[in-house]
Amino acid sequence: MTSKRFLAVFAAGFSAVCAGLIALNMVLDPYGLFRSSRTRSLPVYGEERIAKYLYSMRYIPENFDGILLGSSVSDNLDPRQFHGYRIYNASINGGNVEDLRPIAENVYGKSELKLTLVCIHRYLTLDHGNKTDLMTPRQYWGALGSPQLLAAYLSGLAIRRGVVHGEYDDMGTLRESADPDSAVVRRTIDKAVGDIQRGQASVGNYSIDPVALAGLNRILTTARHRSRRMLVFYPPIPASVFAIRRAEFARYRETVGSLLGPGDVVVDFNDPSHSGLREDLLNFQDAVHLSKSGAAAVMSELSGTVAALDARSSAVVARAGEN
Amino acid sequence: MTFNSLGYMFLFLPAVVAGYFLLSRAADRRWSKLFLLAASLVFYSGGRVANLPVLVGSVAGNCLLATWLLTPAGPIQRHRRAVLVTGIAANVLFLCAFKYAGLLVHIAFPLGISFFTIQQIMFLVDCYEGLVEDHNWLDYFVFAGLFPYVTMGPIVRWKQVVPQLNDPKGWRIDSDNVAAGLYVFVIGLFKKVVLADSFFRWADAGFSYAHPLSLAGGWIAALAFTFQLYFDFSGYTDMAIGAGLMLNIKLPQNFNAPFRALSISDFWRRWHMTLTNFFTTYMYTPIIRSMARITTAKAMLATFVVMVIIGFWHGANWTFVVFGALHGVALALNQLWKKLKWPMPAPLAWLSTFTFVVVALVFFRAASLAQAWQIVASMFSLRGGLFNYEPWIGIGRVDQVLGIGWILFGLATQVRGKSSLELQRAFRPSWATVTAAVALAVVACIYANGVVSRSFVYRDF
Repeated sequence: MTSKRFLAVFAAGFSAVCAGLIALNMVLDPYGLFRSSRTRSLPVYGEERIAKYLYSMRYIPENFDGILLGSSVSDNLDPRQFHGYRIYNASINGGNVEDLRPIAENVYGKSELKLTLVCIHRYLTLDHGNKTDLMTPRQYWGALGSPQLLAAYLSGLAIRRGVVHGEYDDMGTLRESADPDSAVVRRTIDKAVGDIQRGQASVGNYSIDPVALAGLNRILTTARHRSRRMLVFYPPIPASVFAIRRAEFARYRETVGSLLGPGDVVVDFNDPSHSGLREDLLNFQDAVHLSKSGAAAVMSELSGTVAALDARSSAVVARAGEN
Repeated sequence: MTFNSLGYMFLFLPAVVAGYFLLSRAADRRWSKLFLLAASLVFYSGGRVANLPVLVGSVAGNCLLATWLLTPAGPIQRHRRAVLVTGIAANVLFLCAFKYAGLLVHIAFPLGISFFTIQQIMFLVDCYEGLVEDHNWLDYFVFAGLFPYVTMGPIVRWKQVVPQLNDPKGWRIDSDNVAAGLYVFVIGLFKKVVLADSFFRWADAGFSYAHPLSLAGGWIAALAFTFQLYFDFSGYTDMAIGAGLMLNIKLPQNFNAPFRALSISDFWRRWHMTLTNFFTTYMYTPIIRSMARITTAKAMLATFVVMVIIGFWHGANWTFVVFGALHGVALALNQLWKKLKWPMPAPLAWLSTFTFVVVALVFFRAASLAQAWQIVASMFSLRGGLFNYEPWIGIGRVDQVLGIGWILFGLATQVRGKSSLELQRAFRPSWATVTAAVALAVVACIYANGVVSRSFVYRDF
């Protein structure tokens, strides 16, 4: 073979293989980017941040009329338990405000939603800056061929073959196994309480990063304008943890509350009316995260709140029509 | 701009090769050189003109000094040695000012300053010693700032580059060189974006772990960084050599299967060879020559001093000094061993050399001496247990499987496979080489398109 032939074969072979791979990835389109994703069902395969970021470009706007934004605390809230709406759980495990921003921008940039749920937890505003470089526009091109895409394929294959258990469903919810043993939860929470009292745990850290707070404000402002209803909720904190962090939480709620408008619906699961939820250890996995039954209880309460508001709105509209 | 960016691979490099040879056809050769210089400045600046003054200032200053050194007659001839000493001192001060002033004030670190400063010191010495007969501004600027090596080497001498640049045989595109260059470039790209970046995730997870590592964890982190650094830097060098070949410029090798070394002196003959040559020729040899009577003890001391300086050259951190000092001690002991003519079985020689290199590189990578000691302690004790999975959780299961696959492949190439130098020498256009090149290029481009693609380690030096 001559050098010229080598170069020609290389150019032709490289172009053909690349074009073939790109075409294959566009046809398979695991992130619902290159053709209509209506009626498709796309669970999260591979890295959660990448999948949810890419789904926010097309899959979520085309298939859902509501979104749930939050950190790991709301990652296991199942939107199927929310009646009357089709909500995507865009919560990010270990995510802060900066991680939620690109998802929110993409979704609100594409469509107007009926409902936005925002789970406010201190972790969202503890710091600012992207924790990873996984949620950048470059990921769009990565969906044509990249190691992340390869990882998603392999992950999907392993889940479909039953080699590993799929962690997320097609509505973005982290699938939990059965509720943990209450004795284990009690030990975990007691340890967290002890750590907080010794000043050793981050569980009680309610400091607010001003940049993160400004970022949260931007998300809330956009959500208010781009969705018909916005519901903000503070997830329940285990009673024994809440008892020693009540003042810090009140200050935190006051600061975040200053970002909310009169029309925003707020549900605080740490107010006295929800003490039963907080006192039942079976509702928690640890000092922060909700168990499967705890998540179901929270979702049920939120669903009921929105249903009541919708009913009231319908009644007002009906009365206005009669008049 | 970096070699592993898609913009460099698919736009910059093809455009520069095409433009260079198109302009080489013009009657006036200066146009193609000016084009090469402009391309190099675009590459170096990354599109920001503010990045250029340090490089341009350094090159202009050294060009002026060289003009004085090469002036055949006149009063300056009587002060040639003073001009040389001033020039070297100015370059060293210039380097130190940017490299170590960061300890006191925050200043931006100019890309490649350690490399182009050394290269220009070599040039001044060559001028003084009569190894450079003549130069002109254009040739000098192209030589000092040529994009394949300006940021990270290989460190080249005038006589290695400029005669090739001015050889009319090199003014026409040579498909043999383009094919060989492309082959080497693809190998280098694969080494960087697939192997080095896979090793990076394991090394970074280990070195970022806040708690003491387990015995296995310490070795995983240290070995991962050793191979990350090797594949990263040698991959870069392959890409530089490949790009040079496409322009009909053969650049010197920088690596020659260093992990097959049977002694620490053998290792340094195979690792970062152009830097080793510089320090041997321009520092170690003059020190030895300056001694009235050379003894083993004095040679050992000179070796130690030079290696500490090499460590310090890497940056203003005690970790680099300790890295250099460790190698200095090892090289000195190696000299003594040779002098005593003590035998050592080859497997033991390989194992001791490799183990030492891995341990010393922990100091090179660690953020502080305390962290380095902690990791080295974990490698030789069970205080952190035998194995702890926690540091590697962040990599993710699928990436772990993929990463382990590439890591095993990388290790196999080091133990059994041909080095890229051997592959380059054995290169003949054939169906086997073109198939391998396409496969490597496709996989490398998939990886380069990922967001985990990293910058080169030596860009920080």
